[in-house]
Order: sequence, then structure tokens, then C-alpha cells
Amino acid sequence: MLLIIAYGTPLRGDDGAGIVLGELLEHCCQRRCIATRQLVCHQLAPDLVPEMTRPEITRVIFTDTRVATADGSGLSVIVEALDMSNSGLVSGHHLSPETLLLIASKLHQHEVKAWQITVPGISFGHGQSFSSVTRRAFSLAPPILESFLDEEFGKSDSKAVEPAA
Amino acid sequence: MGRTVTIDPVTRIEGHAKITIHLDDNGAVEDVRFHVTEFRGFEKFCVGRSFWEMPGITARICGICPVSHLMASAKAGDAILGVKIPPTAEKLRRLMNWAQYVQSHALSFFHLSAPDLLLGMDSDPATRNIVGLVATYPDVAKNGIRLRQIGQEIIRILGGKSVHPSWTVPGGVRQPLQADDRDTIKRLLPDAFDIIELALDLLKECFEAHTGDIESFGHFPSLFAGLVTPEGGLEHYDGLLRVMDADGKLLEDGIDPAEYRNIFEEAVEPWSYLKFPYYKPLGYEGGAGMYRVGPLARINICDFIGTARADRELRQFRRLGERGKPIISSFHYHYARLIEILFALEKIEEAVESDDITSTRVRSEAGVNQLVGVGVSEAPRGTLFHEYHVDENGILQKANLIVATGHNNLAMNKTVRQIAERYVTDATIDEGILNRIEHGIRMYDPCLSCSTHAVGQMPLEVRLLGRDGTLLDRISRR
Repeated sequence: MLLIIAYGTPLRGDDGAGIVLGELLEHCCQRRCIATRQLVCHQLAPDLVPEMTRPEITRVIFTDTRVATADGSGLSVIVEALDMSNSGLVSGHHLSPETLLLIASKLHQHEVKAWQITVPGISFGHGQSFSSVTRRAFSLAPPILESFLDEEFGKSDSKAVEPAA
Repeated sequence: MGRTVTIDPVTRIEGHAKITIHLDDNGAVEDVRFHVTEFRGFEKFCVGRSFWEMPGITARICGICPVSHLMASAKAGDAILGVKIPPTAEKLRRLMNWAQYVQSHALSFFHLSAPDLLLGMDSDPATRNIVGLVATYPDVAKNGIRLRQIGQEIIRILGGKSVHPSWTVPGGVRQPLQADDRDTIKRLLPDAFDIIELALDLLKECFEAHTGDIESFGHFPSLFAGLVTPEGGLEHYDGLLRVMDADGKLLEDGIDPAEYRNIFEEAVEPWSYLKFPYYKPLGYEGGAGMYRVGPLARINICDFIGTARADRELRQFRRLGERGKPIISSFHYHYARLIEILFALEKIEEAVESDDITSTRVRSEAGVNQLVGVGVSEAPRGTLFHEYHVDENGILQKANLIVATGHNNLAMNKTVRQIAERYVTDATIDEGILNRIEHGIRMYDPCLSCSTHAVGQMPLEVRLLGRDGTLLDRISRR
């Protein structure tokens, strides 16, 4: 089963885009009849480890917002494979996806294939609307997600998903 | 020339802060300040909103202890309505509050403080964290995750989600507890009891290795304040205010929490966004009115706890100090925190066994009957006050929030000073000293997001300044 962990703050503009991205991805997976479970959270905490290490979970995808780069490059949705050896210094209440994977591996000997899919954001003030950069990235996201799912789960005959609103 | 050391950011706490240590001409510690450097201003932007919305709005102050704000805010709303909420609604609120104690205290002990306690204050900072704990003490890490998960799960069962559940409302709670959900909660408890008993043993085994820390990490006389039951028992949701001095003498007892302004006042300093509450009768100058709140204070001021296992633990706890006097080392916040988890679990067990816990009468209906409402509860970090002034339509005209971390501000400043005086002996500081100073703050488990009503992680910087304000040294961690 694929576990989607979508995180961000829906009241902080583009920061909530990771949650919408998670919904979009789940929709794509459902059309392909891929067994999927989605969790939504504000930030990554160790409590997610038991969810990630359930026996039926074989793949985990984290969906998040990344800060768009100033030079204008990388304005689309990006899919990156995660490597738990890249877990960084832990100093706060929240953890990185790599650190969660490392904890899951060390505590439960449960290793999964994992990716992070991010959507660019530029506006993180109070509010529930997305910036034009994020909205544009969403409009271009479906083929990127479909291509990733083709590669990982095999080609699908189903009609491509509609772009997110 | 005198110098100042700055620690910025402080890590493994919630929020943004820095510490400056001022040294005199001889390199001795002259002054230490714990600065809270973030600001949000919930008290201002709540003005103009309906009091009905306040539990949902103020819960957003924090992602760790939103339940505390739900409780205090809903209680302020009860006061505005002028109602007594149904008994089952009160039980359910208490149930969620105890679950929050379990998850929040578990986070503080297992994830934030255990790396220091078990791996050592001077261990490699790259692994002195949850990952290092996983590698060295996997069972402890696993238990910490499980215990926090249990607390979060109970909150989710009651409120629909574990963070920011919009569940308490003025007059009661939105939904009753279903019988199958009650049974689910029951099934979670045996694991939780096992884990907390192991954690208590583990902590007590650490005491010998931390003897020096116990004597220097916030080891000073102060007042202690918090709520107790009318009978003097440990209280987390309601009750009456009590203030005890360092000799165990009660300065205040049986005070209606709505009258808190008669005994507490707030001072401000230009170098911190966190206010400095103090005990009014003794005044602010010289720290005379300094008091501590939170687990250590609650365990000190209560006459008894009121549950079998936690009361047994209380007897052991009290043997750490002089007979009849409170325990004054802030290092023992850790111990008090674990005792409170045990108490919370016992009370959760008691609540889910009660006959009326699944009653559907969970809300009292009314309109605006009072123009001022004060709601007080004990958050995991200490006493939390919400005071709302509304117009005839229930629209907020003024709000005042005093949160736990604010109450402890003077004590946290004194604590970091005490640690600095012991360990900073010349113009430089090493990583071990930096971490000890941070741990001094971490013991209080401050939530700076709550105290300034702001959000974020808690990095730390230590600066060493000359008497003329010149930056001489700096060490930071992000």
C-alpha cells in the first residue's frame, strides 16, 4: 500500500499546497486502483513512524511546499526519491522526511521506497489562497504525477486527471 | 572589559529565543537574559471577533498544546454565557486535557530532554537528538513515540483530529463520546501504563549521573503557583489558585481564578516580547515576586494527587527535598512531568469507566449573560488564563492571555544565570556549556509560540558582549 503524508499549514497561503498536492496525488492513484492511504498533518513528527511501519505499507510519498527559487527556475512540481542517509541535524519539534525514514528503519527494521513531491510556493502569509506561482504549478502537475506513477506502478489506461482548481 | 555571550537560537524548545550572558571585567557572569524574539499579537487581532469563535482561533496559537487554549477559551465562553456545563461535557473536556498531558509531556521527556539525560550533556550534538536516541536506546525512543501517539489518538477520537480539534465550545463540547470509541480508549491504556512506569524508573536511574545538574539547574528558592482542587488535590482543568513559598507556607489559597489580577501582575522589559508576570504582593523589583508554574509547581503545591499510583510516586518525589518544603530544583520538572502523565492515565481510566461518559447531554445553551469571562486551566506547562471582554452581541472588545511560559519567565532567566555562573568561567563557551544552558530552558518545556502567541521552531544563539555592548563571541545552532 502507498502511504501519502501531506503536510503544511492550510492557513498560511502556499504552505497549504502540500495538502492539496496530496489530494491530487491520491486522486491519481485511485483512478489507477492503487491502494492508497493519506495522512494530513501540519508538520512531520515521530508519531508518524508507526503509521509508516504498518506491515502493508511498502511505499511512502511526502507532499510539501518548497520555497520557489528566486531565479525563477524550478517552478513546477518536482518528484525526488528520498535517501534516509541524508537525514540532517534534528533540533526542533519537527523532523525531515529522511529522518522519519531513518527512525522507521532503525526502530522497526521497516524500509520502504520513499519520495518527496513538492510544489513551489512564494507566499506564506495568513490566508487560504495560493499564489499565481503555486496555481500555475498545479495546472502543470497532472502529467508529472502521471508520469511518475507510470514509472513506479506501470502504465495506466485511465484518462488523465483534470488539473487542480 | 566586560563581555557578553549570546546563545541564539535555543534548540529543542518551541519558539524563537536567544540568551545573552554578560560578563564583568574579570570574566565572571554579571547578568543573563533569556530573550523571546518572536511576536504575533493574538490579543490584538481577536478583538472584533465573536467569543463563540475564540476556542477555534486561540487553539491556533500552538500546534503542541492547542487543547489548553481550547479549554481556557471555552471556559471563558462558559462564563460569558453564565452557564454550568453538563457533567458529561466537563468529564469529556477533562479527558481531552489529560490526553494532551500525556502527549505533550511525552514529547518533552522522550523527544526533547531524554537525549541530554541519557546521552549526556557533553555528547556529540549531531546525535544528541531523537535520532541518536533511536540508535542508542531504541526501546526508549519507541516507547516515547508510542506514548505520545496514545495521547494524540485519544484527542483525535474525541475531537476528530489530534491537532487543532474544534471541539470544545462555550457551554460544553460539540459531540458526545460513542461507546465503541470509549472502548478503543480503554484498550490503549495498558501500553501507556507500562511505558510510563518504565520511564519513571529510567529517570530515577539518571539522577546520580546528574547530581551536579540537579544542584545548579534552577536550584533556588521561589514561589510556586497553580490550581488545586477545593480539597487541595492535583488539578489540571479547574479548581482554585494556590501560591506557596519556598518554605512550604501558603501565601494564597482558595482564590477564585477569575480574581487572578489581585495576585498576579505583568511587567515588560524592552529586550523580550515575553512578559514577566510576578506575584503582586511581593512586587517585581529584585525578583521578589518570582514564581514557578507547571509540573514542578503543581506537584509541590498540592496536598495529595488523588490517584493510587501517582500518590505513591508523590511520596518518593517528596523525599528528594526537606520535609514539608517544596522541591526547589527545576531539574525535577522532568520527574514531576512523568508523575503527571501517570496521574493523567489513571484519571483517563477512571473517566472512561464512569457510567455517564457516553451521555449525549454535552452542551448548555444560552446567550450572552456576562460581558466579562475569565477561563483558567492548567496547561502542561502551567496555569493558563484567557480573559475576554465582550459587548452585548458577544463581540470581543478586549482580550488578555497569560500563558504558562510567561509565568516562568523570571525563573527561566534566573535558571540560565545560575547555570552560566557555574559553567562559564572565562570569555569562551563550548558546546557542552551551550547545551547545559539550553537544557536549563528546556526543563521548563517552554512554549514560546504560546507565550508570545507566535509560531515556529526554537533555535538558540549565545552572545558574549563587552560592557560597552561590543560583540566578542557568539555560538549558535539552528
